[in-house]
Amino acid sequence: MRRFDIRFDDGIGPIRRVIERAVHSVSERDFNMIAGIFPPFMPEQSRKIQLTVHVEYALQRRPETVGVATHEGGSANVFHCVAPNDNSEIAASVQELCASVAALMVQFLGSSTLSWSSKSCLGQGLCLSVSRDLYPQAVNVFGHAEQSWLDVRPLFDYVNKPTANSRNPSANGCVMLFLSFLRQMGFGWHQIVLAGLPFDSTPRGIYRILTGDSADPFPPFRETILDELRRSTRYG
Amino acid sequence: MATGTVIGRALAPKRFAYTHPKHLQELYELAGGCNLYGRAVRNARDLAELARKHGLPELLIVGNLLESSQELANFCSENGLDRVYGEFGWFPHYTTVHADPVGYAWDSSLCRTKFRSLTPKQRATVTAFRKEHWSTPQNPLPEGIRKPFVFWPLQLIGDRVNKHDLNLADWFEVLLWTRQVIPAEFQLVIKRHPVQQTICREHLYTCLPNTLLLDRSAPLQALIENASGVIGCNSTVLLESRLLFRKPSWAYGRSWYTGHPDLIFPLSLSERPFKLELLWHGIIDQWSLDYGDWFLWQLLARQYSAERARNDPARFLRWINRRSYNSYLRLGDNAFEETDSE
Repeated sequence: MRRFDIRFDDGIGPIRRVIERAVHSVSERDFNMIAGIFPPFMPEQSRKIQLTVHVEYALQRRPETVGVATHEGGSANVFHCVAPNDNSEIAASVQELCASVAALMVQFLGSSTLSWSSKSCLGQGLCLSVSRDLYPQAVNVFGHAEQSWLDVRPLFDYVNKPTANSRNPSANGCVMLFLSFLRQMGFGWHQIVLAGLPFDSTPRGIYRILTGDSADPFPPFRETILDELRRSTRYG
Repeated sequence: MATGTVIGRALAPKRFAYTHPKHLQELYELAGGCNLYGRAVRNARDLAELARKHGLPELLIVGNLLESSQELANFCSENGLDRVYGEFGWFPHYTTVHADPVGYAWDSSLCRTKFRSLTPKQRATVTAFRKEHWSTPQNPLPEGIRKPFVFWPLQLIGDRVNKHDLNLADWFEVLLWTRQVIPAEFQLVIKRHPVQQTICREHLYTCLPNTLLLDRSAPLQALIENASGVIGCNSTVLLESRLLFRKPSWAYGRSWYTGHPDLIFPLSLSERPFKLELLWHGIIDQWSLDYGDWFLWQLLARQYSAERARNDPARFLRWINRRSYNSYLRLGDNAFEETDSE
């Protein structure tokens, strides 16, 4: 069964077929993977998504916006995205679109949970982290949050002190990287999601449940990030 | 209107009919009641047919959650039959019976009562009863339990009360929600029902974080006593935990406590639990403690020891007669007052 019902604004042009192919192959595959990271029998896992591709759309007015896509909040299954218009970098643009749609799928599928909803810092961190994992080159989708946290030194500890909502990009960036850190330790997304199910879950609490270690994970996490930064050229 | 005949202080047993289940019926018959039809009445139409052939009974003893409960009640009212609703009791479940004048579980008279105050006599009764229940030696907690924890006693998925209320196909959905609404620091301890053989999707239960699934032989009282709170669908264990052990208790389903949301807190699959802070503090305010004691007294006033009923049938007849529908119409809540003399 196809999960995506794609609609296009008039005037999208020949890129329409490229988007259609990408969504029906890549995003369909992403949906199955992302649905599998949440506990079974949640209502969103069996619902279809209506994706409308626009020539222009006021994305930034919505708190749910990630990259070039947004949706109508909560468990709404109507997504909106803006079609790429730069034909010279079509592959990167389509990848960015798929990365944005993947992040929205995490928001959509997590909307029945209390801790992973897009309104929480954990939920926003998860959708960015999954998208980053699937599309590491789509920096425009997750890079803003990542850089917001990395730009301020010393690095603030949102692992022990997460914010109550998703409005702080710096906190979202820190949590996104911490969840990726847990992935690098060998934990699956489904394990991470299950460990963080209680409504008052924190990144540190998730670490403790997964590892059984009650030590503060922030110092080793920070060191790993700083070490990666020293070797990375991404941010100069 | 048919009434029992008073012989001295004793009450003559009546000609009666009954529906399944027949716990109360057996004791009534043992006390001399005339089992008019010799078999259970199936529904109102069946009762009308039996009455046409064999005459009307004086009393109808109605079991739990019958589809035709309302039609039977209408038939009784139209034909001047008295009625009483009954099944097993609560504390302890299988060695007591209960009788209620208006219905079973969320249809019972308990759901229509309002707490105002606890009398000294009621306090003395429940204090003595609770002391008796707490005198049982405690077993150690099973391995793997880490305090603080919230206890979930699983019910049978095919339980009649579940079927008539939530009608869940398995417990996973409610357990998943419960794990989300309980603070992360509290372990969720689930105990299998004593007669449950297999649990649907059992492997998923243990995937939930900070969650432990216990065998059906795990010691119930030790679990309740050490829990910070108890959550369930509508198990009798919720009454035990709230009334005997004074633990904050939450329920997804309806039961005897329906209409008393400040006693056992209602839960739904879309809302966060009410009064969750009690997991840390426990129930300490006097009003809530008195409310629990008052409700326990109400339950005790509606239950009777099966052994005592067999040993003293005359007293049992007096007791059940006061708890019939017609008696309740006459006496109101006073129908339950004479517990000591009975």
